[in-house]
Amino acid sequence: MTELIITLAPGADRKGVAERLKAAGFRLEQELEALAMLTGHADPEAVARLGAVEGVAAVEESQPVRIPPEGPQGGAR
Amino acid sequence: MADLMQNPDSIIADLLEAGALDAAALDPGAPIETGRRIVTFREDAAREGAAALEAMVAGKLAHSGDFSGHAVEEAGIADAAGLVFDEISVAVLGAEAGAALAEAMMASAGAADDSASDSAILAVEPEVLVFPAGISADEFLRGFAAASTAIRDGLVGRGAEISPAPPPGEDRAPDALAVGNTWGILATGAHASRFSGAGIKVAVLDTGFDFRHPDFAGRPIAHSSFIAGETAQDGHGHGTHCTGTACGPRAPAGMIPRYGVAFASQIFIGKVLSNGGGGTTATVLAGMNWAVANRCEVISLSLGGGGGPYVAYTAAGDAALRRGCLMIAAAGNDSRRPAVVRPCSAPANSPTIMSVAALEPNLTTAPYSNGPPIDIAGPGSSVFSSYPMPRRHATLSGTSMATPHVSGCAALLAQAGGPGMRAGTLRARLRAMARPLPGRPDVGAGLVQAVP
Repeated sequence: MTELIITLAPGADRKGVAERLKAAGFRLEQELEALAMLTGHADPEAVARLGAVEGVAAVEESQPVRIPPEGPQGGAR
Repeated sequence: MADLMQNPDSIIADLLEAGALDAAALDPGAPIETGRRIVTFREDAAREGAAALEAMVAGKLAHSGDFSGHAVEEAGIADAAGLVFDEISVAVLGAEAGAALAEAMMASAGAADDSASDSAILAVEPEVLVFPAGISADEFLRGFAAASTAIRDGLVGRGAEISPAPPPGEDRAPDALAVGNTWGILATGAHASRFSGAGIKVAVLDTGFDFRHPDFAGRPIAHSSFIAGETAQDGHGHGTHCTGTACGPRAPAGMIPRYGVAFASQIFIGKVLSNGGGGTTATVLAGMNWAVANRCEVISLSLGGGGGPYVAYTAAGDAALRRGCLMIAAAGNDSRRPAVVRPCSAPANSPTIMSVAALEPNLTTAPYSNGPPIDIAGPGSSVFSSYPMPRRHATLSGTSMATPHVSGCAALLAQAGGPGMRAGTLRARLRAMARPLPGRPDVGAGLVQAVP
């Protein structure tokens, strides 16, 4: 299972899109209402199918995010 | 006028005699000057600055570091023109030496302008006593006596406590005394701003915050964790440092310089990185969603990942802008200038999110600071700010440190400009107000400036 970020198309009905995604194999975990996004998991082979669901603008894999490694000038003291 | 080691009772007596403590001067907005002067050196040039200062005042300076293992003794600095606190790159000058310095600076005023950014001396400011606003004259005078004692004890005792933890009992000095400003506060002009960030919500999406930190005692802080199994308490340190730069106090207790820009802003802590410093796009978006839902006018993101720009981050930045919120993110530290310049990391590389480069204290592009797209630059190297207890404070470097300087300045500007100064308008105005840095690569519009 891959963690996915679903960005909804402008004006799309979030609940309706969520239902269609679930039917296409998406395990919904978070509804980000203020951003019009959904996050969750799906099998990698389902990704293309999810992208074709009506009301979906983009399907992207969640990436690792980190603190930028500290610059060479400083160092904690 | 106060001498370097003058007894605090006699300082008050002198000030009373001079009329400095009469009713007019007790206006909480009116600073009470002691006559001493605070000199701030460039972080990397304290020794050089101290030597230059000795030449300008024609006198010897004592160094707190010379009293290792012992308290700074009055006899040891009786003949000194001033005392240098080496560990914070700040010196206190007695009144006589301070007056000599003022004369020397006037004499060279014409020449000083061009070389200002290269000078080892960043600022000379009158030492002032700072008190919480809204107290009675009687309380003020009692507080004045307590603060004066604290200054004197600070001067005498500093040599013995080079370690960051002050001895018990002195942990919370009776009253706040600002000992100058960090180089970032000076370079942005935040120390001279009339604004505080009051009424503006600043979200810091990071590793959380140390809610026991004494510099933030009594400050209401909204918080939420988006990391499973971890509270918003900062088990890393990075989030507490970034929060300090954006929102830290005007006058930290003890002999600590001002390091926070928007000192009266409302703090929102969203934990999107774990105590190990890691997160995912999903945790960051969850924090962004929370900050936008709470209408945080400024959302500070000292974090990044590879690739992009991603549709999701760009859409999130757009959703923020449409609700009056501005996201400000670190460009990343992957470059090794001049040989290697890496592109800006995500989410800063999304066009709807403001990207921040880092500067050295001499205002050159930091060697690690990433390349385009860049909106603006902030003080990034050797940045002093809050850190989880018991360490209390730390000096760190990175675009992570530059970002909250910009976020703090954004909060000051949002307060100054009112409800019309939000989102895209706020971003454009920050860029327009920046100090251009001709010839410096990848700094965008230049060094962020606080609204005066």
